[in-house]
Amino acid sequence: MPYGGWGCARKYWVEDMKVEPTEEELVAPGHRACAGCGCILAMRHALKALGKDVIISMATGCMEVVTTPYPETSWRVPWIHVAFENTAAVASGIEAALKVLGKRHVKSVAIAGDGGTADIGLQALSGAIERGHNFLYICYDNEAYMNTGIQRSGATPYKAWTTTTPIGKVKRGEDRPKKDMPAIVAAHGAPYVATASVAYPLDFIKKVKKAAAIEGPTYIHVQAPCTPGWRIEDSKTIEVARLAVLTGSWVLYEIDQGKLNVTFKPPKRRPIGEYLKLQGRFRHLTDEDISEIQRAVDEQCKRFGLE
Amino acid sequence: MKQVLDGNEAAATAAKLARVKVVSAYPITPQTTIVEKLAEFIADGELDAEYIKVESEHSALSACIGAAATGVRTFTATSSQGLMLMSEMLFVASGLRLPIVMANVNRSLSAPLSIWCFTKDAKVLMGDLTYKSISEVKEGDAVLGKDRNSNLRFTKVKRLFRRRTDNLVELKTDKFNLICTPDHRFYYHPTHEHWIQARSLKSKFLPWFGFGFNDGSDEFKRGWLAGVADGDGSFWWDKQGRHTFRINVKDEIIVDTFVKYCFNFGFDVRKVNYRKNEGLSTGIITLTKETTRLKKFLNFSRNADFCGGYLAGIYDAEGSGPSKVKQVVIYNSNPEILKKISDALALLGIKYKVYIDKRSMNYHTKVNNVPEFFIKCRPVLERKRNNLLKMTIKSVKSRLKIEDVVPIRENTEVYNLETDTNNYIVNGFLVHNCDQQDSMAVRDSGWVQLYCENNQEILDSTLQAFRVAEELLLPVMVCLDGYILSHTAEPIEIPDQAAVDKFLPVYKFPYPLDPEKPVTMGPLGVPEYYEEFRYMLQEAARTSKEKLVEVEKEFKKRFGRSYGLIERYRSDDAKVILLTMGSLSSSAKEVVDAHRKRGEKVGLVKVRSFRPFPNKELIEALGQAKAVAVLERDISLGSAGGLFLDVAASFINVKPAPLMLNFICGLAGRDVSPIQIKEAVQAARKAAETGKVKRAVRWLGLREEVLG
Amino acid sequence: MSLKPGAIITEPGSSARYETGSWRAFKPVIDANKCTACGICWLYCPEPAIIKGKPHAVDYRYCKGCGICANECPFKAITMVAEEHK
Repeated sequence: MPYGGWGCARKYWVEDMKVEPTEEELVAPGHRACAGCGCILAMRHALKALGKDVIISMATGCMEVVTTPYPETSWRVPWIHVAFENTAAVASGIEAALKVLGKRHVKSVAIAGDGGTADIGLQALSGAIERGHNFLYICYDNEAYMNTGIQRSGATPYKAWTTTTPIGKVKRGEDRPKKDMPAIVAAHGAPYVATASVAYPLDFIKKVKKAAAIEGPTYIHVQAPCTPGWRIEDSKTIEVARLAVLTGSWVLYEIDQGKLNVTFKPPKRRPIGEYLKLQGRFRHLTDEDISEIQRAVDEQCKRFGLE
Repeated sequence: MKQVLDGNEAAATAAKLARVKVVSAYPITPQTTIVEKLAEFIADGELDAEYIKVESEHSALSACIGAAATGVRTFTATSSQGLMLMSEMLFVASGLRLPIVMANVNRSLSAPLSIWCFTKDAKVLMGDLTYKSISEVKEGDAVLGKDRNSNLRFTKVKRLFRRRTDNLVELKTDKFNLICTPDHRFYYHPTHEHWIQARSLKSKFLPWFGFGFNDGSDEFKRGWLAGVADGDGSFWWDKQGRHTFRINVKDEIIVDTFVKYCFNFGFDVRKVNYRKNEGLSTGIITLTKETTRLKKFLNFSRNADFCGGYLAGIYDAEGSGPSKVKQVVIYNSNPEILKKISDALALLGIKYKVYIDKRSMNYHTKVNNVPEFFIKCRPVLERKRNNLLKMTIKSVKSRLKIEDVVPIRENTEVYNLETDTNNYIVNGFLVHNCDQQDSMAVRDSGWVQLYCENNQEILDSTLQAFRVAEELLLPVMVCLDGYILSHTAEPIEIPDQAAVDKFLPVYKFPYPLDPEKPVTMGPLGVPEYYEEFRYMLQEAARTSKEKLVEVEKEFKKRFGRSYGLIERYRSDDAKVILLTMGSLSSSAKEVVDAHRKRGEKVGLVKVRSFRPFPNKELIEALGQAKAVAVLERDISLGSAGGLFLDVAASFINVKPAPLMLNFICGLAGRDVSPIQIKEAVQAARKAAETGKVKRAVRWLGLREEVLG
Repeated sequence: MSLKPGAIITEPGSSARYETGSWRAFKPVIDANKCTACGICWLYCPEPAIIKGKPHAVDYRYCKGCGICANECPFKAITMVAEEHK
């Protein structure tokens, strides 16, 4: 029985909004994503929430590469790729042009990976939010530079293996904690910031719809597992993503006009070991390591008011 | 309509006339006024556009790309470092075939600005001719510097730098010691514009502005009072036997200062206004005892501070110039006063000459070394002080010897300033604050590049650029020389909006980003197709020549002006031809005129469009010459100058071909003087006569003996 | 095919021409009796390669055989079967 079962997906999206994912597929199949890729699923869900009246600017990364091998494209909406670090700047230009053309029903949406957001893309994102452009920024977080072969990024979690934080005799894995991007964006005063997970698609879709409806800079950070990068089985993508939420390692929340609101509280928080043991990138952890990580997760949950 | 605009304003006005819809640019000297002007136009509603206040040049061009792809006309502007930062995006913009127009204000590339520094006791000469410690100078302060034409001018401090280093040298002179970084450049030779590094200064005599006088001291003030009193004041005994003193001057501030200083010394001078209707201010002392006391107090003393103040005072009162005549002149024929003046000048070591006008028997005391005079004898009147700006650096006649240069290896805090003119004066020496080297690095980016010679050309080229870009689907860069064109104003003919609207139709991009017709831009370029796309781009770049000519023809019909891909100036029958780009062409044209006056067949060809490279046109223009001297403000490091390489390549399979020489000049912020250009002409003539070229690539104005 | 300047692609969703079904080593088989058409497999398929219906069906043109559907199905209606080599 898959942990949590299907009940979790439906039980916890409720509230007042009726969110039924549309049938329309704005991301066509035939893309070159890996089997079981969590990120392309995030794209698919996001587009279901956004609909066709968007212009997407995307950063160099896994999603850009797998969806647009010339002369084919998976996108059924207008889409532009420019470079790695300037997605938010391109989205700003698009938003200005849309304003000039009077196309109020079209939304400028920027999509980038964790590398193109937390690291090299941080400047452009910061500038775009500070200027208050009306755009939505979605960061799909697979916790490393996956497109170039699993190198660490600022979003790589503590003690994870990547090719640039390998397990050796002296150093064992990533020695820095994960950069808290939603907090950084919230500190800019963005009107809406939210975290999401591919395992909770209805929550994600609702947040995207909400964020897109707000006029101003909004940000959604969706965690999406990578099967080769996290060293997990192809079929376990959703299970791992769900465990991240159920162990409190990834908290689903939104900061709506500065007010924090946790959108999903796991009923009985599972020990972090259950999440870590499914992933090859954490295979090297000793019991001590796991306890250390557990302590960090406990502290995080305390901050969010989760037991 | 004619208006006086500088180069930057011309570019901004062109963008406004073109009705750009999105402006996204980041400020950088010397382009800042373009961005500011556009912001003003938008804020006043004169230009209906979105202004994206981006946070870097890279984001500036990125935002333009997004906006142009969505279907609106865009504009940006930058310079040197900014151009380098956005260079990644330059290639993307041309690859995506987006018609973006950019103004690039050529400022040569820097080595990092903060390399050259001084320790904190270095004194900087401020705009009011006082010296201030470099650590206390603030952004926005005015300091004295020189511009590219060697004129002294006040320049604003743009930025301050502070860091620590242990790589320093100490320059020892007999008056003071100065500690700085070893490669800091000092101004050395007035007639050849040479800047030498600090480490090579031993035993050199540097031009020296003067330093080390305390003009806040009481003696100086006393001297000033004496000078003013001798100049515009008078002591006299009236018929009743009362000793009175009176001073009458046009500048009220002199009287105010006189009263203030006297008050400090315990004298009560009254300021009265009874000659106000004549435009004069008056100060008087009527009490005999006071007046006598004052007269005694203002006795001439032979010390430096007093003499400095005395001369300052007499200059404030009675001196004039420099104006048309580049000298300070003090008109005073009273032999007593003349002696005092001469004594004072001699004591301070300022060279002077006394002229006697035989007809009127008036004596004029003239000083040539105005900067030294003003610094040692600092006038109180600001408007007189600012006469210094009529002088050039050549008027600094004093020299100070650097006795020794000693390395210092202690970790110390050091400072540097960045100014508008890129130089300032420290302890009386003129120093450079950054290296400048033109950049041709982005000539491979696929952008059309037009180089402008004057401000009218900037406005016209920018308007043409939009048309060319949108019809070719290629971005266009309009280049203008920083400081030379960007900051000098000339009267320009501004076309009216209706005419421009007819010339520039509404922006149309064939496949904009639009949900009604979704397209994908910027996909992954797989090897199967990449080469074909680059070929298509190269074809567009190469044939943009025809488009430029076509657009110019229409521009000439509508507005009466055109510039061509190249300009031929008296070159049709020339045996020796100079080849230049940008504002250097103006100086070169003057040299050509001078040679032609002597009957020598010298001509000039100016390249306006560097990309696309006008090889056919150049072959036609240069083919019949015997020798061509290519002068340029850049070098492709490891090879030769960029313009030279392209011109030489054009002639590779062509006969007859002239001999070609390359002259790298105007780097390191130097002016290219007519003497240097003549040198180039001479070398080319020698090559034409002998039929041989010994060295194809040479540098103009290089001091080989100081090379390390 | 004529190349458009700037490598622009004007046919949206043209990747559908490339059938990624050839990638898989295992293929999902849906048991029609157990399938309740809840839609979970459709929601979680990354391609997407599930066709909604009663019961749901697999679009074998695109299915890469990742097995997420089999792992998530609450009714255990999907089993992964080794792909026969053609």
